[in-house]
Amino acid sequence: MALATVATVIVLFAAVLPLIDGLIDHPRRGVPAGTALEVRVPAERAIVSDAPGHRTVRFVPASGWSPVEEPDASTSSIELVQGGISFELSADHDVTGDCAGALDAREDDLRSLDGSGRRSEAQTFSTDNGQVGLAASFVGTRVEGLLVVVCERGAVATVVVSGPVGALQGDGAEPALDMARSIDIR
Amino acid sequence: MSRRAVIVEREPAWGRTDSLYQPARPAFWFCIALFVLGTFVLFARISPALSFNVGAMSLTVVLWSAYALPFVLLIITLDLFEPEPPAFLASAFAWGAVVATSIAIVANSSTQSIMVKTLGSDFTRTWWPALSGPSTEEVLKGLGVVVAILVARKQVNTVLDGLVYGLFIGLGFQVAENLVYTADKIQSAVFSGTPGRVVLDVFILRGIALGLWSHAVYTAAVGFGIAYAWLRRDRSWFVRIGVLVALFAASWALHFLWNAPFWQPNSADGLEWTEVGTYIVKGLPALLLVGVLYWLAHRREVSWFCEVLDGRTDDVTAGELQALLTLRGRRAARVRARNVCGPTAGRAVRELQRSQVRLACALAQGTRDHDIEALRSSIRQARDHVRSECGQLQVLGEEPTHEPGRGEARHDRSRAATPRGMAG
Repeated sequence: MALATVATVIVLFAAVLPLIDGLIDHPRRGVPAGTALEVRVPAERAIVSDAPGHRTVRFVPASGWSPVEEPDASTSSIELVQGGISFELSADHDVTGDCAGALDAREDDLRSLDGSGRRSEAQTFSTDNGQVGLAASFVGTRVEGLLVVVCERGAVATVVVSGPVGALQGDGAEPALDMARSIDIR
Repeated sequence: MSRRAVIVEREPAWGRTDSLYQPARPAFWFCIALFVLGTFVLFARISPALSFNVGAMSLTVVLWSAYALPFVLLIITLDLFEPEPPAFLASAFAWGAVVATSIAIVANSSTQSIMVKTLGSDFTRTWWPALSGPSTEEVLKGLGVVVAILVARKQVNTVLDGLVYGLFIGLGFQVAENLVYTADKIQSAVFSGTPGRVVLDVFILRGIALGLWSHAVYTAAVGFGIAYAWLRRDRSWFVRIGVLVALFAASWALHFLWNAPFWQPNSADGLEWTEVGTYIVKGLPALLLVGVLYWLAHRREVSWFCEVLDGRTDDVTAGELQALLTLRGRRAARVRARNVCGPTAGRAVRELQRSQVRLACALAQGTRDHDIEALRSSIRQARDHVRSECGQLQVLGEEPTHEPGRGEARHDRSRAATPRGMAG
């Protein structure tokens, strides 16, 4: 009797829970593979001498990631989620004049996610089309993640990837990094 | 001498040991299957980190193994009169480290995904650790105590045993979880400086800052509750289940409190003095709870120990008996002998104490008379050895009148439990 109870509970945790998880659909559909999304650098703050009209930041979501809100190219930020991991991209004018400053300016973002957040030393990051920036990882007691900034001619795209501690283990961070690498500031 | 017979847990299994290999018990094969599956799950989780940086992972394994050692030694000393067989303690540790951890990985991953889909990512990010962690992990670790009772029926026979097995299961879980967590950090710290630094940061944070009151104490309380419900047949079903439910709820709540988003420590990678208050508020209640439970369980074993040696003043004097009741008392007698008469005397006192504990075990076990006599003879020899080294017996705590010290259980014969089948 006792052994049967133990076995039942273990089956519940190891098999039934994953089954239930598989039966629940995500409330938002993922973006079709290959679809590019755009956010706009705020026009009133953008100081772009050589670019007519609005500047945009384009990226390609990885398979299975869903926008939290309906994508709107007129906004300056977008958030996608997959499992417990969040990918937030925001576009802005680079007021600090260099990517290091932009990265430091995002310390508050980390604090808002987890008051204990501490980030690593920044390292060079480059997108698939050669735009460069900086990236760092951070870890708190509840949240861990990545911080990426890409700077291009006065505009900066900032990516904050975050999830519960352990969620980005192994290749868990790779889809988010792929999305960050697909960033193209136009 | 009149004794009030009280039906309590079965008599301690002092001196009795079973083999861990019990092919006749289904629980044994059940455990084997879970160990094998759990090993695969853990290896799949850790192996990428091994490929990523074998040096950092080696450091991780060494650090967390070393981390466990002092806790193992501490827990062993808690079971002063009836040390559990090392093989059973190791298997309890393995349940926590392999079985509970691997299933918790699967279960927590599922609950995280279900919460995101149903409650949103913000809520999940904030509350998932507090809600999922205790709900899956405390249950899985508690199951380990149940399995320990099923496999080691002759070993788990007092509530103190439940507490000790719970401590080992919780410690195994804690160490394995930290090892997995460190492996995760080695891989996911994509832009960190050196993996070695990551390992040390995690060790400081999770081992020292967050790890002193964690899974081991939570599971100790649950283990006490399970052993109480299982063994205290003298209590009503309502009381036994009530104690189990109350202690599980307490462990769940303390684990929830620790993982809850409020009162979070401000440091992610080191100790800061300003955070000591946070650690105390969130962690100390669990430690105090287990301290009280240990005191209650130990007190019962003291009663048994005194009872079984009652009237055997030729073998164990009143002062010696009092010294034997606590680790501190035993050590004090040895230190006294060493300081007064030299190191050989200290070793002689240690041998005398061991012989006396062996005698108590033999008496509790109902050993044959000639074996009892052999043990008594070894006690006499040990005492003669002490006399030859020291020339007097005060070092043994043989003061003419001795009052138990603060915190020591007094041997009150009117309240002493009389285990069934115990010689006396």
